[in-house]
Amino acid sequence: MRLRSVRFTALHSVIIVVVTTFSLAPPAFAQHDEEHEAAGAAVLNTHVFGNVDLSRQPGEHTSFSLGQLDLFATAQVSERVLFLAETVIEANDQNEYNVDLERLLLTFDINEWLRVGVGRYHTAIGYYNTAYHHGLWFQTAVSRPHVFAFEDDGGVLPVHDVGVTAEGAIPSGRAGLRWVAQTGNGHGPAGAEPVQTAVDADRGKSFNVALTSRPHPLPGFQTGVSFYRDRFNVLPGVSETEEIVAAHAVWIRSPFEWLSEVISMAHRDAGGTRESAPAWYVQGAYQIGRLRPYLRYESLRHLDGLIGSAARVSGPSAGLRLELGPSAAIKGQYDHERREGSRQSRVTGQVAFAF
Amino acid sequence: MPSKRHRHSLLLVLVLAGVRFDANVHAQTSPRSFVLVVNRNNPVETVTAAQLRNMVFAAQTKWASGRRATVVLLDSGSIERRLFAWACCRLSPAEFDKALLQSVFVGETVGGPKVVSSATAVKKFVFNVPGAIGVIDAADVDDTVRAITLDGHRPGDAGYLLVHK
Repeated sequence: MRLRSVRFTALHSVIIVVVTTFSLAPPAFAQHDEEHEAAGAAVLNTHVFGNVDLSRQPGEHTSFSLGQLDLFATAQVSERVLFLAETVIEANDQNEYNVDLERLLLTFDINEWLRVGVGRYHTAIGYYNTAYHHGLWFQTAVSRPHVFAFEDDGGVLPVHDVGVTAEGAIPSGRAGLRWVAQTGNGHGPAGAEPVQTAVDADRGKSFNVALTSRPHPLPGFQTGVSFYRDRFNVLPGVSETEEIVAAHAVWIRSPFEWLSEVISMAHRDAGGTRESAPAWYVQGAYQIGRLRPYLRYESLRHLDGLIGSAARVSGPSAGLRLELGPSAAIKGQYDHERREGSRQSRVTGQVAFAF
Repeated sequence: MPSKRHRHSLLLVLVLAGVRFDANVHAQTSPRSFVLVVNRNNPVETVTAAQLRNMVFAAQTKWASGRRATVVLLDSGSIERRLFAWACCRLSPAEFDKALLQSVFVGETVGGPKVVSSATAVKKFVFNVPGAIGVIDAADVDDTVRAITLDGHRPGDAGYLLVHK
């Protein structure tokens, strides 16, 4: 009992520090710096996102863990040029810190039909990967669906890429169609850093195209499809082709949230042998005052360990999110997973903040 | 047992309190209409909720005239912002603010709508910026700005969303 008391006291301390700190923070959308704007200088808008977790699962010690400290900056360099940078500091399983430049984009806003960005971006595969980045405060749940896990967390999808990304609206009336096209370095070879930020180890370039619709009569509803293809060297001289098809339907309208996606991943080797694996998840949430209970069920049948470390995983998650204010939330989540035939449960608490 | 005089005094107090209570209820339930306002040189007569949503989240950056569209809103907690959030996006104020921050985070926008602290400041901004659009109390409209309709609806029309009841 005493130990439990100490744990909760420590968690409360963390919560109190976070809440106290950010209750003193300025509002997220302060006025632009008019003097700088008037002088024609770019104004750097900065935001910080972060989280602290407490998790418990069989076979492991109950652990506090610092999540990601996400330092985010944007600037309107000129009327048509936008700058975006996202740097994340996080600890790994060996309690060592890593610093990753997760996104660095210079975007040219040519018109509503065409925006072109160069740099490192999140690939527009499905919905979750572009809607939710590294700031966990944005997402209702504690964790991302397994299929959208980041590469350095054993993720199976190429969620980051370095290259050119273009997007824009499609004249489509009330259908609200938009397109995305991306090309980049794609995957690195097996065992190497999955995101080829500086050097491409092979000649092939990845490409990804997506089409989404946000129908005007249905505020908050979005549906879309995407197709990703990359040919890369698994080993020196051994190439594979990866194809990923994704479809999604989401509806976020106060007070409910509904997310559903299905992804099909396929690999084909030089001999033409093709292996495919599906993944899908559905998530629903309902806001009741400051509380938001949610449920998620997901399934991921991974390919043979080529990329990432996840295997066959499926199971439900149930959680509760409590808004502490406009920029902080406490979440609790229970996961019950079937992983490679064995069942395991995990309980995770999280304090997430943004300002 | 209170005397007759005391009973009359008590009755008078209750009656006055009741009148005051009624007045308060009336003040709280009397609907206030708000309107969208644009620069006087902007020829647009109406906008749709979808257009507002697209302007806020940078999916529509310009008016048909080519002017850059800029949304100006009162700060968080204001009735105007709450009505705007629901009218354009069917979101609560907190979810609207979260969606705005998320639009910055995903790279759709840089800083979100222009934020000011009073209806006077909204009018001043709309007066000075040709492509600006804001929302203010209908009673605050003057000749510095021009009121337009939302989805073709005016204050008082059935289905008009910028009403605080």
